[in-house]
Amino acid sequence: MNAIKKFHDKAMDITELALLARIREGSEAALPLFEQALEYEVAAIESMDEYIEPTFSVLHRSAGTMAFHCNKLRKAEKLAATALAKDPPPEIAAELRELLEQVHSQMRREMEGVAMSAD
Amino acid sequence: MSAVNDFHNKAMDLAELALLARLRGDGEGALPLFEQALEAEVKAIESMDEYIEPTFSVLHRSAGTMALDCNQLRRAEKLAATALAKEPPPEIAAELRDLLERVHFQRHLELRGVALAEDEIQMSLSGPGVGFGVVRAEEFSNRIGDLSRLVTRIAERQAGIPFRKGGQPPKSIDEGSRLFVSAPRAGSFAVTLRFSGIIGAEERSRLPFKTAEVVDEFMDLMAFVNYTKDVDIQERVPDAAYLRHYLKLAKRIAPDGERIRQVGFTLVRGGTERVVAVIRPASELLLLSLKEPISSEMDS
Repeated sequence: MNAIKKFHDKAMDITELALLARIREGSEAALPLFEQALEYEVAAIESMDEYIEPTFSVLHRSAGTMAFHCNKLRKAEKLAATALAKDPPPEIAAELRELLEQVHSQMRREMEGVAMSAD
Repeated sequence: MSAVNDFHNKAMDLAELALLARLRGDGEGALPLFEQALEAEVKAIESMDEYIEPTFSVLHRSAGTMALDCNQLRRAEKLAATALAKEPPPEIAAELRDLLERVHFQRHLELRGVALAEDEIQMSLSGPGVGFGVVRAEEFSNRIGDLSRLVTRIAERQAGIPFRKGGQPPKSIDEGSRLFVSAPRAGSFAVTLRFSGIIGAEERSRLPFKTAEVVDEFMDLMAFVNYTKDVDIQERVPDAAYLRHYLKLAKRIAPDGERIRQVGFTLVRGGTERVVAVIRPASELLLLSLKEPISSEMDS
């Protein structure tokens, strides 16, 4: 559990920096920070040696959100789907569904070639 | 692999029987057949002793669809998510996403804390033309316009006014059935629609129609165009001119099957939610099940 917490805390710290960078300098500056945060959150998931809720679904929701911020849509989808395929608590399940809807909405926009930011 | 095939074939046979029962309008008979089909498909999945694509994702998509047909939403979601968490081929992944969208749409139809008065309904849209809390403007505005016209017509009919071929509705109808729209909610694009505007209860009581009954007739009409046999719409609306006009507008409100795949309505009566989810594309609406034929000529 110690390794999980260590990696998760690190991921959270970097996410905070990423969010600040996005506000101050825009999305491009934040991207490498979100990518680092994602790697740490995935390391936290990989450190779990048994299935425990809500830890499992919270980590997947968090990593999925980071992947979404990195525009790694398929990775975000897999992370959210992995948690929804198990037994997340209802409030986390609702957040995972919301994340999936955002990911799928973004996938459709990219397929249609709709520009993202200017409008 | 033989057991997988055996169970899957059995599931397909049962699903076919279930679909036939549903097409005959026998929803109650279809349900146990879908349940048996689902159990057979789950056994096919459990018989897999290694992860092979596309078998794994095809079986999960199929079982998930059956679970949705049984209204087992969480089970349908788990089945679709299990396959999406692996490596499905792109075309199956797209179908799994569509399945999840349908499952989540059913969830969005639930009010989840949104309070509705008797003159209010929730309308939800989903499909490729809907993003997270956003929707193509024309998909929303055209439906709202048609819905407003339809409700005005229902109010006129209930007030005993003969079908009007043109011109404006009487002032009391127009003001009493004026449509108001809430701020949208994310997920599926969902809004609350209020049908008697901002007039007070006393003023509403003097209207030549009852708003709740107008809303109920609207829900019956949408249920009819979707399921055809659950509601005897000709008994409810015996005037052929009104019915023809209703059906023309209902068809425009229904999903187009491309940008909008589902249009749902929810209201509350006696503390219970009533949900109508229109999933048939407008082009497939089976108006032929009317007991008495009505002219195919649709006035404007």
